[in-house]
Amino acid sequence: MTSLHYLTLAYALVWLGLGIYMIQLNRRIQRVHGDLVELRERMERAGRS
Amino acid sequence: MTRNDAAAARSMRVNEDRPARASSNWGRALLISKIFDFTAIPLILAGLYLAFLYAPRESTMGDVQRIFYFHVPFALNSFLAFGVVLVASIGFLLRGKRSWDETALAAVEVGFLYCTLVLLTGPVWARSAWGVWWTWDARLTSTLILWLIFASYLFLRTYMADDPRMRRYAAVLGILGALEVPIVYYSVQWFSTQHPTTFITERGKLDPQMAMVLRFTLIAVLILGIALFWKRRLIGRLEEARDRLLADVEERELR
Repeated sequence: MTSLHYLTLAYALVWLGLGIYMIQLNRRIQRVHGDLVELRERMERAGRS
Repeated sequence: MTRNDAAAARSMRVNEDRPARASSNWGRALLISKIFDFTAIPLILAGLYLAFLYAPRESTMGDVQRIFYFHVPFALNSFLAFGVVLVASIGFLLRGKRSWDETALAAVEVGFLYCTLVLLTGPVWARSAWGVWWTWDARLTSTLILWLIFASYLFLRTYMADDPRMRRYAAVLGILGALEVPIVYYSVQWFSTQHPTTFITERGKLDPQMAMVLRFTLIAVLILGIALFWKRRLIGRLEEARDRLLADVEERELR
């Protein structure tokens, strides 16, 4: 493998790693935000009854 | 209605309003997170274009020198993130507020990720320049120690019970790690190292086009770091709000 191949491989790994981290953060935000919405609904139901 | 009844009624109205206000705050925070995404991603793509296609080929190293357009910004922005860790950890030890601790944790995650990328991209250049992937040079070794300190910070937070004692230990470790940053930065001046302090062209100076690309990627990586930090901090705030709301819901359902 030439140094250009290593360079391409390193860049691919860098952006793959960053992309995975960003997707994982977005998923966590969606999940916790979903939990909050659900809890707010439960709160409203408990308040009505 | 007595004064106490009026106060209770006011308090109930405030509590009822709180979810609506919180909802709009979260909506704004999520929107800002998306704005950061839509700013950072095009900037990074433009940075890649500039690094690979616009910047001139370096005279001695050839194409492998192009690793520097992201290696250096990752390093400098990881130092910046560890600076935030220092301030937030000191803030937590002085004030004891959870928000300081969450800020430190978010900054550690971004700084650690960037530091990992520095350690991943550096050897690609080292292999071409020195013929080896790794050498126990002062800059490389101190960077590895910095990485290990923050790896242990994340291990501590993952495996120790989530209590105030753990948060204090983490803050102390965060401060120790951040204090290592000047050692990493000045290691090329304090010790005799192989690691370059700068890279040169035939004229012995950084080419203006190269300098422009480096400045651009520095800003792009900084904005990406802010985007990641914002998201990680938002998760902490959402989790805190969820835990509080869960306690309220359980209390109300039991009544």
